[in-house]
Amino acid sequence: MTAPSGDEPPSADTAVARVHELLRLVIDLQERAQRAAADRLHDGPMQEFTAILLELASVRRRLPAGPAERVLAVENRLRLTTVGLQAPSVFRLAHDARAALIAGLTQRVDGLLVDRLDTELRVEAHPPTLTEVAVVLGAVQLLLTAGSPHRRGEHAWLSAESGPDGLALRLRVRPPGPRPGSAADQDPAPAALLRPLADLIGATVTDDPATTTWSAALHVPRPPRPAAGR
Amino acid sequence: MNAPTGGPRVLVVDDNEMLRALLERILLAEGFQVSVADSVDQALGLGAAGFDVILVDLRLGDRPGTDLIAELCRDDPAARRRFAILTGAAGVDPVPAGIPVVAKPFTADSLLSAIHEVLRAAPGPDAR
Repeated sequence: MTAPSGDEPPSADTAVARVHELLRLVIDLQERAQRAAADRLHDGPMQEFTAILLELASVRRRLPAGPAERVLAVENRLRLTTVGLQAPSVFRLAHDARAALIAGLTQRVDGLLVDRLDTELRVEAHPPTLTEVAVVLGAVQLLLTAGSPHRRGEHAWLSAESGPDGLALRLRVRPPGPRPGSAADQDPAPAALLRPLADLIGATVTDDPATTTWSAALHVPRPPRPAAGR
Repeated sequence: MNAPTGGPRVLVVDDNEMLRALLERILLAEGFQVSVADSVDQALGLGAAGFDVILVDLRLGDRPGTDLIAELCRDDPAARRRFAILTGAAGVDPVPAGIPVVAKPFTADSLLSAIHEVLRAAPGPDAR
């Protein structure tokens, strides 16, 4: 028997695991970019907005009741507006896996890659790891982008169920209608468009012409936990 | 406007000069005795342990605001009840448990509420 050579192609499982690691890194990159933007916001505009709010309060305290109430309303409105500029980190400290998944889907999928996203998350019994959540977020974003490269999908339904052996993801998508000026049958079927990506990340994709939707299924395996008590 | 004296002592630790000046003005007008510092070391040099309330930004130039909390709590664990944290990165930077957080941008009223919350919850340094 010969030892396996380093030139042998990786097994399918190993190749998928490597791609999942790549998906995790993509999400890590998104997080870093978001944090860098948040830092810039914190160090610049947020300090300025805070100073403006404090200046307004100083002025308000010297005004009679009527104008003071109007200035207070301006303060509160300005604060709400500026708070809305801050996109909280998906993997912020207080977020467990479920909260991170919801935040990621809300910030990076719903309204950005599809007009409407409905979710069904069953992750309480066997909470996924944050790495698994990152892989799912990466896979969903790439599938939706590849499935509708130029426009947002119309509607997506996503279910994620976490079990002892990993996280099962199902995504069903109604793509946007035909592009203006093109007949519906000129656009390639989404599943054909998605097949290379699906093969790469270990997903299966199918078209359902009856409902004009496509579906993808992906399993993110979880390494077995080491036995306790030894 | 003359600043009333004799009120609770508040220490503001923020590396933004404009905010320090504004906070000082507003707190003086509310009757607090106010000192300001731009770093953890300067705050320690002002005798931070002797203040009734310490408002500290998490992100300071040299050492994070959590260093000041840790240093004061080493000698007096109850000192943590005299802190309120100012931060524009809530949820990103770790915050010691049980300390009120005032997220930037904040209004003067929300800041004053946090200060009064601290004063209600914590005995002053002279009560030790």
